[in-house]
Amino acid sequence: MTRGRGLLYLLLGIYAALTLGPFLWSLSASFKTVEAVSAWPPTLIPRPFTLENYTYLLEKLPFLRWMFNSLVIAGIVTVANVFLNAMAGYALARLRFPGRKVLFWIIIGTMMIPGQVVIIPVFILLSKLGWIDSYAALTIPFLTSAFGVFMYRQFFLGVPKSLEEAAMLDGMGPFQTFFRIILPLAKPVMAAQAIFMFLGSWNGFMWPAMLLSTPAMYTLPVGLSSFQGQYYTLWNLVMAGTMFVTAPVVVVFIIFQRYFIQGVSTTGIK
Amino acid sequence: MNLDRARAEKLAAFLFLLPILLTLVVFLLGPMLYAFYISFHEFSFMVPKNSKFIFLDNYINLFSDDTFLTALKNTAFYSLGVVPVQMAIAFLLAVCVNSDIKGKTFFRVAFFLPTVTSSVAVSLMFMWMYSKTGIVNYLFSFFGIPAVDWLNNIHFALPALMALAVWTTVGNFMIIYLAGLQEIPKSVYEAADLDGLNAWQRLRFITWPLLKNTTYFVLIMSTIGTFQVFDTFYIITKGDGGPLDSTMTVVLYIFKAAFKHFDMGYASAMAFMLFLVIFGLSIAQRLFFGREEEA
Amino acid sequence: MAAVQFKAVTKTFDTTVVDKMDLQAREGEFVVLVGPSGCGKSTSLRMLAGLETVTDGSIHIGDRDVTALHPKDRGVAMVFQDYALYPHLTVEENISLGLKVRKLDPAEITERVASAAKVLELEKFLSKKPGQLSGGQRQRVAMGRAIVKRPEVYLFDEPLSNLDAKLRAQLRIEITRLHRRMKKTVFYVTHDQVEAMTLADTIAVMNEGKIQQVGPPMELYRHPKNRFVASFIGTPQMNFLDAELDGLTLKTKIFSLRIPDGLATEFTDFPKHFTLGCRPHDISRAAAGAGTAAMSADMVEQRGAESFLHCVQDGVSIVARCEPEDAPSPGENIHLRFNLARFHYFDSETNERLVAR
Repeated sequence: MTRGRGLLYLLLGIYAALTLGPFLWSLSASFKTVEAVSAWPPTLIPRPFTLENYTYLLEKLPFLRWMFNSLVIAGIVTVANVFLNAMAGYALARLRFPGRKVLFWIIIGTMMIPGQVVIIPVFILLSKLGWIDSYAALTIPFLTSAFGVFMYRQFFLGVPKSLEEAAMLDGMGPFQTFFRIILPLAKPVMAAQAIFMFLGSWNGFMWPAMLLSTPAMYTLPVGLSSFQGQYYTLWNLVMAGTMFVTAPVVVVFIIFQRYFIQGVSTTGIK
Repeated sequence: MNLDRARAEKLAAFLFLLPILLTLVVFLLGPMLYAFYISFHEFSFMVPKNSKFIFLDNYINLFSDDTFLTALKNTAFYSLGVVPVQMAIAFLLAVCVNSDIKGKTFFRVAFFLPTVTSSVAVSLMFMWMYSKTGIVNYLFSFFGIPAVDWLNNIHFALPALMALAVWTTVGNFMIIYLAGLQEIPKSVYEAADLDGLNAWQRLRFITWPLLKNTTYFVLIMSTIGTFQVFDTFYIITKGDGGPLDSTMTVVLYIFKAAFKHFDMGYASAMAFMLFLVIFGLSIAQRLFFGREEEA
Repeated sequence: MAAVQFKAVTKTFDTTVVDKMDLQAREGEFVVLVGPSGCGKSTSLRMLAGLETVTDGSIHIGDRDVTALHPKDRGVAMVFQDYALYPHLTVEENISLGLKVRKLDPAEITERVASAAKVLELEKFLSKKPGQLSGGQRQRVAMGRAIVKRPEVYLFDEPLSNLDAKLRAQLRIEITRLHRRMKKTVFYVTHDQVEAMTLADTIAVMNEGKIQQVGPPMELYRHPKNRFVASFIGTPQMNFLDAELDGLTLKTKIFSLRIPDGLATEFTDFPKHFTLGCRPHDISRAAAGAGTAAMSADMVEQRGAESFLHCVQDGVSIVARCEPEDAPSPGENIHLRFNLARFHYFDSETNERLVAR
């Protein structure tokens, strides 16, 4: 028994080292000098320890601006998704109207469409609208998500019907029932979805890379990837850059990991 | 019943569904139809009016395009390598994390972290670690393995990217397996204990069969994911699929055709071929699982 | 004037769930709808509440036809089986929300909530959330939510079925007290006939969408109109035997009894074969003799104050009551005497009661 347990911890420990190692390694590099980062054999502890990489990025490159862009875009996308998807999910789960089933399957079906199929027409459409290089291009097409709607619908299906009936007897119409009774119940789903949508938007690369071309409008990932092209071998600087993208996410994730994992779980099956 | 109530519900449903329907129609379904339309054309991005209808030529040309065939082969190789490995590790880790151990939260967070990290950050981290003087070569040197420039070697670039893919996505699938595991009632295992099953038998006769639906879901998601992979390849190879097309995937080629060669008709045809392949694989996996259920 | 009236109410989903139901309740009457699951009792209640549409017929509260009215305009309040408390609101908010939605004067709301909380002894819990309460407390909050609305009619949909036996007994008494105090009409749905017997002024027994019998509990117990009601009301269930009349001798497979001359006229219109019903409480152990049934004791069900014998003979099973100290041991051969004065007779074909006593 104890030997099996020891083996278990060993296995888990090795894999944890594999997943955490690269993060620690990069973090350490971001505090190293150019000489130290390319020293052979490599060392984990940065010696000498320096903050110069970060100050350089902040002074010489628009990292703060990119971060701001990312925050605004991810913020808008998150708030919109949390509410709009909830509304649609509730309608599909509970409201009675003709064509509900068909509509549900259409929305679910759209999840099958790979983004690559539509990126060309969407690029053309957004160019015609003059939205390339604007926040609109990265927010308006992403205000809702079929996946998010599905997640909410699954949750609302499990809410007892009697709650809505009690609300009806209390004199509430469908709008009041939704906003006063149903939505507050969905708080855990809202939290999970908020994190999903925020991370999705914050980390997103394909769409912003296609839809943004002026450096001032870049999001952090796009900015970072363009910056890497210029500073190819200065790994200490590049790793400091990756920390700008990674650190906020890691912090947010560790704080909210419970909701996040719940979220993945509720959408996984069924 | 009360007509006003029924009407209020319909009105609410309409308003609640309006945002998603609008975005889906304008930014997904409409564009998809348009993509279908331009896939039959020699499409001119600058002057769409000058596009020439060439019917199936784009589709036919795909099969004599060596780059496309290489991309297809690479994608298939990538998928066949990544999917089973990532599923096996995810399952194993889920079973371990779900057992009665200390520090569950720590392991869950540690395993999941790569999944929530920006693909750009991950790509850059691995570019550095895979470089000729990187940590990977350093660690391998202890085993007497000579240093390799992993990402610039036509033999090793694709496998290196596959390892990266496994590293980033295992956490996600582990959580899905974990959710499946937690749905299995404790009493089932207690009954198994009374029946005298050992750890391996419990895994073989209880856990694995009860997780069949989860496995199916993970298989589909994992397959789709590998066929659509873009970010890491694009960032690491600068959109080129190099060296010498050894990391050219279908999605990467779609982008190259569309945004470098501006041959959007051809790129759209390719996107539809990819869609068909993914769709076909999903159906095939469904059939496979369906048949097993009857047996 | 009837406080509540169902007039030929029919509800059809895929099949007919409630079939031409007629039922009246006086103002202040406690009506219990009872029946096996799927008999249409809950659907009837939900139609009265306005949660289900009426396929045909009409429902009246006071002198208003409420058939097409919105639930909130019917002057009813409902207590749900799962209580349906809003989990994110405190007890106080749960109770007052319906009044706030109706835009009542805040002072009035405070006053009503306070008085309901006092009656239901909820004062200590007002700032708690439903998740922090026990089942019995939640049940009381659900009642509080109904009371503050000052409805004309209270509706209860199996409100005690999620509670344990002890709490159930206690809350039955509380509900009775509450009803005496409010003096409002109550419609109460349950599948538990003990609950029906203890609570009701009037019981309506339903089966397969039809009302079988309406009346005070003891009337239903003493004079069930048909075999279904006879078997549904009373525990243990009534015994049924095939019987025939041979002159003035009542014959069954296990005993024969001579009918006293004074009762003979009652049997004049009887068919030759019919069904005889006898409650376990009307059967007792006796010494062997004329008119007794010789049976073998199969099992003894101890209830503490009394015991029930499960006996068999010639393929006939009988449950009889006896004093615990008289209980035989299993397998023992015993004799049972059936109390002819308490017999019930039913037509074997239609299952209707044969003699109106």
